[in-house]
Amino acid sequence: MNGALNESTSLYLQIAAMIEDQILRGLLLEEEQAPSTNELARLYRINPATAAKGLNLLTDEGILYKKRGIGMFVAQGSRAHYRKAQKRLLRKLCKRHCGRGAQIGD
Amino acid sequence: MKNGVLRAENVVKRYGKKEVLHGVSLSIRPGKIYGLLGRNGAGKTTLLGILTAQNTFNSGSVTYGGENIWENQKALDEICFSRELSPMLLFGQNSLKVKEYLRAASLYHPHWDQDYANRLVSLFELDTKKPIYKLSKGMMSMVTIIIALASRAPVTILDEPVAGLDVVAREQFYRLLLADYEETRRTFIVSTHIIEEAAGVFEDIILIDNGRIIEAGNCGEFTAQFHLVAGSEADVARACAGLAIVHEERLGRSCTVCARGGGERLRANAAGLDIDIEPVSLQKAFVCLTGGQKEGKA
Amino acid sequence: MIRTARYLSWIVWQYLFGIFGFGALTIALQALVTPPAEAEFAAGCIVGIAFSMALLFPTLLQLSMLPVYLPLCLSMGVTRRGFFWGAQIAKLHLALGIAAIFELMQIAAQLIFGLPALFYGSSLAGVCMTVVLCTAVGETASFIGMRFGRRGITAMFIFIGLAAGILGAAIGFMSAHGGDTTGIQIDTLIEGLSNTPLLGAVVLALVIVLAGVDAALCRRITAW
Repeated sequence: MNGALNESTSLYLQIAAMIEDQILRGLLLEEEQAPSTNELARLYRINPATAAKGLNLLTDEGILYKKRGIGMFVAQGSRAHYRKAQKRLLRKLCKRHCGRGAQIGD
Repeated sequence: MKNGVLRAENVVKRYGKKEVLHGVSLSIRPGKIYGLLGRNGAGKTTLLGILTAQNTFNSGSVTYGGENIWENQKALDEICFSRELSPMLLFGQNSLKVKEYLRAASLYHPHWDQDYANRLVSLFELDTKKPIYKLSKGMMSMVTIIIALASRAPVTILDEPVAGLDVVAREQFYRLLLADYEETRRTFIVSTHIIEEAAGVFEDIILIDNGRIIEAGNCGEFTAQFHLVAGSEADVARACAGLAIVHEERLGRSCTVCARGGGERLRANAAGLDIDIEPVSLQKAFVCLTGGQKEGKA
Repeated sequence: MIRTARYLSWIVWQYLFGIFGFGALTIALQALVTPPAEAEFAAGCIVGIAFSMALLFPTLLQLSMLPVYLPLCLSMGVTRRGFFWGAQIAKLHLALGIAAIFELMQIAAQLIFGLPALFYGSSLAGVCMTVVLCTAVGETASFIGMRFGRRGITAMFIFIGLAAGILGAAIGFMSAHGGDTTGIQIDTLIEGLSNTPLLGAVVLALVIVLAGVDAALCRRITAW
């Protein structure tokens, strides 16, 4: 996942995905403060409400939590959660590509 | 009065016998950035003129904070409509110099921020002594932008602010707009033709086509309703069962369709089928909806 | 209203400055060029020019100013009522300014050429009334033009033609009755206004009626 937004999935999903990616790669550590909506809006040149939606999605999933008056922080155990999810996704993709390969092979 | 809702209800506008706005209703809620999108001649500028009591209309109502805006100076003081400047005008307004135009703006907008205006003038390297008709299209847009931003009006409307600006200047504008929004959280309505690069900036969008509002709502939620489905005709038809098809393209046995409806339903239908499903950008959705192409149910 | 008055007055000052310069230049030129024997003629020329100025300039300036600034100010969010009353103040400002310049030119002619002013009985009040009337005509003409688009411009010219015709008829009428056909005939109107309260009242009524017409036309004007 690169640092730019594209026209594909909804912007807020891309924001959420980007934060997930940072957590997975260890660029954003647990108990560290996540970027604020304003920072994200400024960086990606988008509406702060969209950035907020992405962050709220992660909060709902339990990946981020809010510290009153300060901001959003990465919850404990997020990295592990993502690594599990990533493995599952890779397995799914493999299955799909193998299926395709079989199609082409014959 | 401040932070009121700017509301149009069933506005009808006729020029002679020709009706150009057919019962338009919309609500502009405070604190959002709205994108007003529509083709040339759809009625954007007419509508905006009516929303700001600058144009007359034949029936319906326009209110701000519950009060009628017509001849209502208190309401109009909260609204700024920064029009697109043009080199050709009826009575010679464009022989005015930029600085005279800015002076009028500074006198008439109670929340005007002169420092901000000066900063923007030097940022854009605008020669304020030039008469308007001598400006390039890009510089005219810059004047539109300066007036809109420096007005600091609680409801600020920009009509085609990026027309004539090159891509670097357009990016500059979006950043300026967002920076202002971050600071003031005031209401912006941006009417534009250049959709995709601005899509991220809008929170809500309003689509107007042939004098009617065809969409109004959250930008992201709107765009998420559309999907591009590609594959064989039969598979695509099966996948899109129960969805509205907004646009269709064929090439031999394969066909690509723009379908509107729940993403889950599509994925459920598509299980096991050999088709590609892709999201659709705001611009593509707009073109599909207003391009006059086939509409129907699968 | 105040904002419009401020904005338009700033423009009126620029016009007045220009007219003042024009007047000063005329006098200077005449003073330089005229041999002493022709002093009376020169003084007459100056006053004649001053008159034409007093009648033409207010009409033309109002005519050219309003179609530019009314749509502009409307696009800045002013109410039509606010603009209308601000414009009335600016109208008075313009009229008084031109009247003052006219009087100054007469005084200058008197001082430079050593002759008494040619317009016996002309009072500042009479001059003001005339100039206000001319600005009112110009204003109404411009509103007609703005309100009705292309057809309006034709109507505007017809209106000015009518006004000029009525003025001419009034002058002729007064000249015939007053028996005074010396000097420049346009001054009969001004003398008449200065000395006949009834005529002054009629002019005042006309100005108010024209303003009323303007207010009515103003209601449905749209911005550019």
